[in-house]
Amino acid sequence: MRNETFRNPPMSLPLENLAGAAAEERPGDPLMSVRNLRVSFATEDGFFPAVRGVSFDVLPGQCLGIVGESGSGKSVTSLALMGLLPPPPGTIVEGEVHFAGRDLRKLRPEEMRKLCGNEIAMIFQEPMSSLNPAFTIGDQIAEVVRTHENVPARVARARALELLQEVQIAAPERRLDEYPHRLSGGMRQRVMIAIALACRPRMLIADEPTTALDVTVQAQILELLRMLQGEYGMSIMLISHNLGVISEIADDIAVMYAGRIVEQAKAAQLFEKPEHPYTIGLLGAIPTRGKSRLVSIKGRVPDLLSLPPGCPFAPRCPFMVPEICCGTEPPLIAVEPQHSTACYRAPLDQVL
Amino acid sequence: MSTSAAPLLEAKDLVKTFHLGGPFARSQQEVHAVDGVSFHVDARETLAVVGESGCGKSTLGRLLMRLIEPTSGSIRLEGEELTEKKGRALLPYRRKIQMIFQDPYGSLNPRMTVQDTLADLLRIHGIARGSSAKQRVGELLETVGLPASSAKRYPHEFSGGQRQRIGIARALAVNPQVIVCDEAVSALDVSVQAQIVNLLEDIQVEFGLSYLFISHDLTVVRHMADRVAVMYLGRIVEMGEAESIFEHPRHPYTRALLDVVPVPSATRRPHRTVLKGDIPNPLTPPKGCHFHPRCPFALDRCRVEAPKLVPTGEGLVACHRWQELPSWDHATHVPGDPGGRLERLQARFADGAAVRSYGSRSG
Repeated sequence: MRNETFRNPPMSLPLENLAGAAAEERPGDPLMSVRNLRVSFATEDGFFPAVRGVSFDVLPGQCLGIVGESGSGKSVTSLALMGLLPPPPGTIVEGEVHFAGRDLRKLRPEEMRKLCGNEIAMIFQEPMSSLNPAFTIGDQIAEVVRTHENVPARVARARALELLQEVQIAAPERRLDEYPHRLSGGMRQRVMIAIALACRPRMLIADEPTTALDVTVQAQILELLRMLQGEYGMSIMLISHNLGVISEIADDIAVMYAGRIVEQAKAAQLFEKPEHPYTIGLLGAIPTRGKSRLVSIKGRVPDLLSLPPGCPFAPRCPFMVPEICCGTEPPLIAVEPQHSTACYRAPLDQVL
Repeated sequence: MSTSAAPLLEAKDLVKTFHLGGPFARSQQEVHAVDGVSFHVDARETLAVVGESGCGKSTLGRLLMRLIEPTSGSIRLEGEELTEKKGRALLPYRRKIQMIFQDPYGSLNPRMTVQDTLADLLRIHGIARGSSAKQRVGELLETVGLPASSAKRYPHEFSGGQRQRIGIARALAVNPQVIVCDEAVSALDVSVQAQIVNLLEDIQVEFGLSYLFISHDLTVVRHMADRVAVMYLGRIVEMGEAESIFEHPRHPYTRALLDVVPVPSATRRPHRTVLKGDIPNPLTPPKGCHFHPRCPFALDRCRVEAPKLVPTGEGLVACHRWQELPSWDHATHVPGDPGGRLERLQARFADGAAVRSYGSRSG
């Protein structure tokens, strides 16, 4: 009975809408295009639907920011794209992932392995857990170079040095022979970025890349990502819980709530004229100057195993009207070109 | 200053030096985690201590709680010297100053129900026993926005935000005057963080509390603080009224911090100074001004002579060149839109804020 909501997914999805809007504005296909992605985890209590139908495009040379709180499904989405879900319990139930014209879900494991690292790379929040403590920085970068390119060790090492210079590590020659524990958190993240850059990927997925870092170091890493994006025309998918961090480099922003995208827009549009009540509440919850009291969204994130009928945000939403909001889940539809929201009450100007 | 005007909590020249390496280690190393820090906290005010990791702000909080012994210096509460008190003599003092930690789960006993944890505390401090303790626990939980019935549950049955509410209830149990909040909202999601920040503000008014608010998050500090102390490698480099620190920061480090705080905004800030490098190793802090290797304004003098905290008219700053620095006019805030669309929409959440929210866990 608990799985009822999951087995009967809402039918309407805004695929045409999204694709249409993107095609109108910009010539050229998106680099990555995700359609109706559903991921669930087998648990003792039934199938836990972590991602419930997510669609988005990442355009060449652009940065898509995905923002959401814990449990919104943002990290699971990125792991699913890279084929890094632990199977079992995690499985992609449905959906399409196209990257540069290829259907990633149809690739064989060897092909996928080649693509990951070569064309799509990923960095994580905790760089120490991605680095091997028993090997030097130089060896670890060189290993990646040699996995993807057939070059002698000497060349790979020279390439590792170049990469460290590129990510602006202080004293790169010395770092080559150092072990990860000798580096600070910021430097480790730079090493991870160097590894990610080893094969000049066309797309970088950065999952909370600055969350554990101090603000000054966070600014350095964001600056570096922005530079890489500009210099190499790399696409970035930046995942963060921090709207401030997202606003530093994202061109487009998708807001996730309870496993779905509830609002998607150009960055400026999202901050100037947000349309989804959750986005509005989230922006109000961030302390800024002159705010006498923070917006407090009542209650908490729903349990995905027993979602309320209708809009998952309805129980916490001040604009909720039971007859409208508690029937079926609202689809993500465009309110303006390049701006969609999953809210029956949008545009919210009408409720003011 | 006369004794009648003694501040609620006062620290003077506090020093904490940690010795690294055991008795048989080849070399003895010292870290000056807190290096001569002085400040005071008045009744009903919030003093925020900000700084990056390793600046000594958490050590400072622990010193005030007497969780660790200061190497030298004094801590006075209502004029009474506390560094000399030990054991039982400290108990009355512990009632007056309490602490909330970053990780509430790590600070709650997983094998004790909330009722047991809080009732123990009330008994030890001789506040209430038996049925009156039970009633008091219920009241405390309701004060922090949890149903009284949640007393029967164990810590693991609560979400992060709810656990932080329990941490706050525990701090409130002994009717303290000062609460040291060590990164109390840092690990929480934005929306939960907002709920806890609002709760902290409400109970501050309700119980007349003072906060020593330790945080690395300048946006929360700007919202909460009356006064701000900025720390760098164990020393306070700037201190003053929050308004003056955020609008007219004097120290290059404070300016650099404010410059890089990510603010969600439609317009990307064009100008910013991103500091180079990391915080230096506290084992071998730079000579002179600790900040000089990263400071764009450093002179030879800064490399040899440590600057003292001097009054600027608005606050205190420890920089040789504070009077010569260019004026600082980077607005760090989102241009407000008072009464605008977004504000009116956000106002609709307000009734939700007044009702202290909690969710019960299903199953």
